[in-house]
Amino acid sequence: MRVLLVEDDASIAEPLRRGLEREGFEVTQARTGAEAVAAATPDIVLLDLGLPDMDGYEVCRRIRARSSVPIIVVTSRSEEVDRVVGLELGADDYVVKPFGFRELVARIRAVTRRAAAGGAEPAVTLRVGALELDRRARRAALGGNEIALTPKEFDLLALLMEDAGAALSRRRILEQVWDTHWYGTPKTIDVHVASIRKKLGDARWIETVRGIGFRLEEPR
Amino acid sequence: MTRRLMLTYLSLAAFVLLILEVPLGASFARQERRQIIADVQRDALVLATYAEEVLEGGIKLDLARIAADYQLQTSGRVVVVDATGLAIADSAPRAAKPADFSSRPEIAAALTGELTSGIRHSDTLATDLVYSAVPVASGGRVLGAVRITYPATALSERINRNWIALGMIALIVLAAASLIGWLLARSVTSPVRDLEDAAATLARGDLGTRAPEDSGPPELRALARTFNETAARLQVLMDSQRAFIADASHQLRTPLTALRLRLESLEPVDGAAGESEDLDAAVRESWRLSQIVDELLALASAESANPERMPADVGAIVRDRHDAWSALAEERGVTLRAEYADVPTALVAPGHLEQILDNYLSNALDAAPQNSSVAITTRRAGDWIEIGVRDEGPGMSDQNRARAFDRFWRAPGAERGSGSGLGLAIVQRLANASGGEAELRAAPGGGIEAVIRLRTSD
Repeated sequence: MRVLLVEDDASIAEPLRRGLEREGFEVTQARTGAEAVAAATPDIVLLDLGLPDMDGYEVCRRIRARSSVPIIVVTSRSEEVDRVVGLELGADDYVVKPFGFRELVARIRAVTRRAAAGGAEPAVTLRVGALELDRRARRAALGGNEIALTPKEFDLLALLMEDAGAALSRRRILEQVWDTHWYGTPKTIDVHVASIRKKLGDARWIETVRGIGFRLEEPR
Repeated sequence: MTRRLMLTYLSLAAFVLLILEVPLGASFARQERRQIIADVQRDALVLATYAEEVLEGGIKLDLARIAADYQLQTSGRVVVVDATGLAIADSAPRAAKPADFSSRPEIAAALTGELTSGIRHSDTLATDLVYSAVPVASGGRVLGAVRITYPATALSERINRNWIALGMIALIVLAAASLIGWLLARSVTSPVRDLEDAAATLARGDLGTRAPEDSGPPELRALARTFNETAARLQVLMDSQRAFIADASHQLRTPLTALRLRLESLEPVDGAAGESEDLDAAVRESWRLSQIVDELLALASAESANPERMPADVGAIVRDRHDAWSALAEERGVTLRAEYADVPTALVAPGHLEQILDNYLSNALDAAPQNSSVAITTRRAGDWIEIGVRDEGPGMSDQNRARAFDRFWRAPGAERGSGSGLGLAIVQRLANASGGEAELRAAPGGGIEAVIRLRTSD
């Protein structure tokens, strides 16, 4: 899989490139917006919004005008996220610095999987073992019995189920489920995870991954 | 202030009126008295010339009739006596036989040839009288006397009317002085009030507020200008401090990302975690650094926020937080209790109380030993509502409790790598932004009671 890495800062580009190559990606690097726009169309674009020559939004728009290649935006300002994703620019996902490598790879995989499935819409119904979740109806059920979840619990469970078996970082969970202006405590997630565990009746559904975050798996 | 200024104006006006009007009224009364006495005396002298004719026996004139006519026209009583003091004519006789007037001092004086006039009290009539008695003399011999008396009531009425008129003038002047004084006072006090409002708004944390500089006397305009300059400078200082924190946090993110990526690239390819403890620890530390950067940003935005306070149902929020946290508490072997009945609504920015309670509960769960309990308490204290989170943990010394809200302060012996030391600092900013206060108290059982005080909304 070919990755176009648009990043002018070598301190980030270099380890990222090595890491991605180690994971089996084929990496092309662009150091400026002009280079990025001129580059051959890859399978996915990693675009840092802070470029020396061109506004990151502009680069995003131009790439999108040319092709429907998946774009993941990298930014250090979480305020920018709202403008980038989904809206007029059409980026597919984003990571906020500082991000971890595993988190990034997980996102690349998720985005390309979605692109391969042919639509930007995430699956409407998620299923992990006996646990079922309907996004459209915002309903979750375990073994056919509906579970009453608060809106945040629902979003959190949906996020964990989307990537069942993978460890999701707390940061990613915070960014995806809570808005960027939320400054609760680091325990905000634990509180919701504990509540979901209780409602699922088995604490093993959501495993705490020490130092990283949480992983959802059907208990065996 | 308006009242004081008006009091000053009015007391000054009243003082001036008193100084002017009292001598004026007194001199009017004196003048009136002198005038009436002179009039009466002139009439008495005229009548005395008639009486002289009669008493000398020259012409036969009907003195009684003249006296009666006089009384009819002027309401003055006329008494004519002979040399012994016996009345020969009386316009208002008391008895059928002629009365003896020799006992009246003015008549006695007139019979000795003296002319007297003035005002005296009459015991017989029980009233003040204006009188004039003149001797009727011919060739150095006193033949009798003529006396005219008026009741003084007409005079005193006229004097009273004058006093009343002066009083009315004084009232009108005072009313006008009040009106002018009020307008003047307002021109001074309304800019002062504007300035006061601006200062109060500034104190509440709205640094964008400015006082109007174009009204009131020059001194107040200068004061307003100075106030505005101070506020503007304060705003610039605060803004640049916030901008610095925000910029610094953003700038730290790129090198932090580089650090994490390089640390993670040292991990084995198969992703098996835990092979190198040092590496794991380093990744965790970089994660914690990121968290500190995030919370610094949160702190900066809590400081810059100037949210609107709205009445909030404290009971509902406490119940909601209790429900949210009880599962985690249970996982940790801690019982979470809450009292939230009969609590009035409090003024708080939307979401702030929830965040503060989350922070307190998070700390309480860290401090609470297994099989202990954590309680959320609510109570009213005057105009305040106190919401507390009490644990049965080891507690803190007075000194540490006082310092716990400082940025980056961490309890001695706190687990390394836990938290950023900014949680309570953020709590305090949030509490202040809602017009409330945050504090830690020693709980009776030895633990800590973390309290947030908010104003009631009624």
